[in-house]
Amino acid sequence: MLKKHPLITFIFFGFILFLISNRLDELRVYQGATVAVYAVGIASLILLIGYSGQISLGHGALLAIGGYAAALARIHYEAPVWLTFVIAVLAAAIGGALLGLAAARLSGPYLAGTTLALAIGLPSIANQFSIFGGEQGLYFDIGLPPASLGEDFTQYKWYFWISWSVALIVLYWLRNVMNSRYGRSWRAVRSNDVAAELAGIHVGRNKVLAFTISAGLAGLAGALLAMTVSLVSPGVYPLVLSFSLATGAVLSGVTTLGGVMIGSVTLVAIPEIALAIANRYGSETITTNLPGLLVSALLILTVLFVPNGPVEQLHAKRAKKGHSSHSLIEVTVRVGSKTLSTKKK
Amino acid sequence: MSPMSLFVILFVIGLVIIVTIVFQKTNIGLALRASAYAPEIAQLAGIRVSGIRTLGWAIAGASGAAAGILQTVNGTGAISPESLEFSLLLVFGFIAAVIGGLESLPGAVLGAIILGMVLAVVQIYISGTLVFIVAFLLLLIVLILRPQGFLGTKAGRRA
Repeated sequence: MLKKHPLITFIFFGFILFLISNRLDELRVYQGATVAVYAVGIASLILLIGYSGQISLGHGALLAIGGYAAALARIHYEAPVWLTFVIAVLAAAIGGALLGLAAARLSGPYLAGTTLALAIGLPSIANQFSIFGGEQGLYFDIGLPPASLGEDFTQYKWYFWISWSVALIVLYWLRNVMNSRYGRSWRAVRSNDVAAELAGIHVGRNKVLAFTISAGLAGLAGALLAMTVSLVSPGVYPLVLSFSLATGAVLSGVTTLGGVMIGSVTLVAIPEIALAIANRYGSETITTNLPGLLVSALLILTVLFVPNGPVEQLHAKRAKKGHSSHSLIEVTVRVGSKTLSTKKK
Repeated sequence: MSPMSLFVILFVIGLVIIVTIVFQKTNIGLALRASAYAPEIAQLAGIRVSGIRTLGWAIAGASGAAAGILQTVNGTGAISPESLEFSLLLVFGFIAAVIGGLESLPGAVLGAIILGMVLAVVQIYISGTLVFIVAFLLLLIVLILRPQGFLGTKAGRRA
């Protein structure tokens, strides 16, 4: 169904989410909104890593650019909410384009280190200049839900609706982009940039474009994140956020968009599971340390056993049995190791 | 300067000399450099690239351990998860290595000295909070102007 009528599937999925949101309590609705934020963030990373072959360990910094841009526009110019999101996308895209110009010259460890340095360096700007509100950050308020939605329509449900509508639109749009000419060029660049250049693809331009779009989506995720916590501050976009997104992308499988929900749900669910375990068996030490341990263990297991992510693995298994007929040969870069594996589909 | 700082400096000089000898004069060093430069061709020449890579990790681990020891004895002398702050060792270490040139050991030392000087000037005359972003800008400038680093020889990628 997803293959033949993607739009209907997306609308159907949205309708199911709408039904779910009416039946859950406040905390779960809030967590649901967080899942949508992570989904957008992870999708932007998948576009970057899996489709254009560039790596970013500092996506949290781009989220922060988006969040701060949205909050500043809201506070100083009282921009309407939709406009703050547009501004967030544009600001992060400009930042991403600048970074992408440098990144297109880099590869592998250089790019990972540069983006990591950005993620570590950016919060210090917020502390240095008073316009960014320092360690306390800025208040980002999108206002109450419209009165026409009824009396018992809560704030968090409003966040849930906004973030999921945005996430579904983004995922649908991204799915189409990835199946378009651009998506094919990006995949060609990722698989083998020399061959792509020989085929007439401008490698540098494509890499910068992918970085720009990815950064714009990351900025959108940042604005959504700021909305759900009503705040932008260095603490909202910690370094851990960058690593969480990268982990989520690997858990989802960086070569397909299909698994993006797996990663985002896992990221939200794991602290919750850790909390439940800690409540039953242990102390505060477990609560603070268990989530990291679980995520790391899961990451290592994923890289060892399903290096391309669960969804891709499923496709590969089906293709072996002869169910699917995609491209003849696809060169896949395995995450974690540098071995090139040529696999027939 | 305390005797400990002197010890650290001498230790680093000794370490650089030993590792340079290993890399430049022994068969293992040649195999390591060949596997890094062109894995397929190294394999054709009879080098077990995967094994050599593991060895490379081991050497990197040992040097990392040396860095951790030096950081501890030169600092407070106490060790805790916070004392070896990874943003400091990993990011500043990486930036220093890139500034000096990733395939040059003396370059790493030179890069570390340059980075340390610049950061000290920024910290004293401008603001302590800007240290990380200045380090990032320095990295970006070096990568754009001289991607191979100060002492690197291989022409860097340009797009």
